[in-house]
Amino acid sequence: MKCYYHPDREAVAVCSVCGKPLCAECAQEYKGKVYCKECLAKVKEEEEVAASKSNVSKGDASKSGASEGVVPKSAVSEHTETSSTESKAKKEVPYKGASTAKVVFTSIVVALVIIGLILLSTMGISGVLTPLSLVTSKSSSVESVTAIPYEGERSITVSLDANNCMLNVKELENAIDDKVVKENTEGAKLAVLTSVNTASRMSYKNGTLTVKATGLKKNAVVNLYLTIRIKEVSLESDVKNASFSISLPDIPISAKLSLTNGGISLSNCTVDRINGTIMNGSVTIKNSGVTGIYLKGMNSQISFSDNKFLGNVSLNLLNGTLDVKGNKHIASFYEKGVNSVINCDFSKTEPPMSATFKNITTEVTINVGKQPAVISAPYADVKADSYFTVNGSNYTTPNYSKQYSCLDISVLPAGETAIPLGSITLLGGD
Amino acid sequence: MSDIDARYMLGSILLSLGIVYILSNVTANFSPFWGFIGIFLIFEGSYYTVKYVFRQHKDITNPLVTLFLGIAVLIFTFHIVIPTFTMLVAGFSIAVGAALLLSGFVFKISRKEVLSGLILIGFGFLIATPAVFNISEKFYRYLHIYGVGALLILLGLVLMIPRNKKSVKKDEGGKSDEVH
Repeated sequence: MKCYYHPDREAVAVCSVCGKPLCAECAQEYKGKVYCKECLAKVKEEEEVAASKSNVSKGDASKSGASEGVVPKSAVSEHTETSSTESKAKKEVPYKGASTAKVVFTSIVVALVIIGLILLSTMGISGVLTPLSLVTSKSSSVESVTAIPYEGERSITVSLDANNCMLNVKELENAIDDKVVKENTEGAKLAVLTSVNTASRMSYKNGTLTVKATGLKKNAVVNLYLTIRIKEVSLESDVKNASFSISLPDIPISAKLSLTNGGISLSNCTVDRINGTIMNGSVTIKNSGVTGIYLKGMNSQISFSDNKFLGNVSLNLLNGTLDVKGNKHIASFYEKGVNSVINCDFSKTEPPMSATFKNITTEVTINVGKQPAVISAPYADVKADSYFTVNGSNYTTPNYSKQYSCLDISVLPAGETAIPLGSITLLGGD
Repeated sequence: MSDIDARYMLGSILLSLGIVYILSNVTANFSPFWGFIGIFLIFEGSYYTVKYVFRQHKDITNPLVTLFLGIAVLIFTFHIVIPTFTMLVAGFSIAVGAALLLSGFVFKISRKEVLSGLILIGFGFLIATPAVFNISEKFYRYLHIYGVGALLILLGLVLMIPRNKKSVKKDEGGKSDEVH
């Protein structure tokens, strides 16, 4: 064991107060005990304070005319000496209680600042504190209510495996103009669901707004029936172990997703834009119209089926499954993930359309049916030990390159090209 | 452990529990257990770091490692970084490395700690970067092809580099100074 003050020297003793290891030079013996410098000063200081107190009490007693008589000069001088040493000690050694309090206070402040910064960045980056919020645009005047374009009930069904999930209706409440509320609800209040365990049910009168929540525990269902004018629904989710489905025709939805072990299913929806990340999750969109999808996924399933139109679709799917079938219109389709099983059926897709698949390392099946199509593979690269076959055509790969694994497919309107294709099966990978 | 340390620890447990309780009520996707671990580690780490700064504690490395591990745990708990296996290994490696680097470079001059810190940070970034840029498959494929060979070449080069043999210089005081 090394000396606390001299790390290069071996310790020969330990301070009897603070337990610091001390070398021969630092160890100071006082009244049969070993102390370090600081503790010795404190011990002496305490003794001196005690002695001075007793002197003061003696002095008081003498002033009040007690039997001890006048305090001797030596005692006075001793007292002044004591107070001078005391002040010296005070200057040299900080008062223990104050410095400990300072340490504790400082460390709590430091810890809270660090935790606060982490929380702040969390809120800024992914909005974790409002994990699932449904926000309407503000209806600014009563007139906008009289011209309700979406009369009748609209329902959003959210099914959550909702451990630690929250449906934040407060924003919805804030989004509705006060006048609108007064005109249409006859003073009914919109309750706010603040936590998973707050099972509540509330209703606007006149059928204006009904928010019903039962339990919100495992596989709970939350129904929102909205008849107020809604311009757009934005869905922000950062949900783990949750799956939810939304069916909301006519009202455009934009969604920012972060799903882990979860899934979202949209049917009969008008989707402006979906972007986000999925981990071990699934995204299913069917019978909807989608303007833009930008998704990154790992070990996830993505399925687009029987949609009226798919606008720009950009996917980056790692070790996932992609199923595309029965979509009527596709503007552009881009997938660049690795190790994904891809099944694309473009046979019901009306031209024009284009699709690009990059980084193909596993099985890809693309069927364009009897559509007149141009399939070009300028960067088609599959590993040396893999191959790809084209069924039902005399397809060639004019610009075969091993630099990139990419397959471009363009389905053009009839008449522009006349290369009929059956299905393409691309096999490769390890 | 002195009385005040024990009191601080108990207090920080309660504080952490309180914070976790509030956060689990207002936050989605929040693991109370890991949240508690992270917050508690931050409280403990910052306490002993501050104690060291006030010259009331001897060691700085362990408190800093505790503090940085706590920050890493919270970062993963709040999903600022998605906690995949790769990112967890990388995150904790970088946290410990950063703590060692800070301790060895700022608080006390220790070449050993700086070197360990740099190695850990380098290792963390090495395994995190391919995952971040989604080129893990390519990276590990190339590593499989070139990695072992490159390592052997590097070792060979290190062995080839001429070095001074162990010699003993004696100074006036009779102390020896080893030069490698």
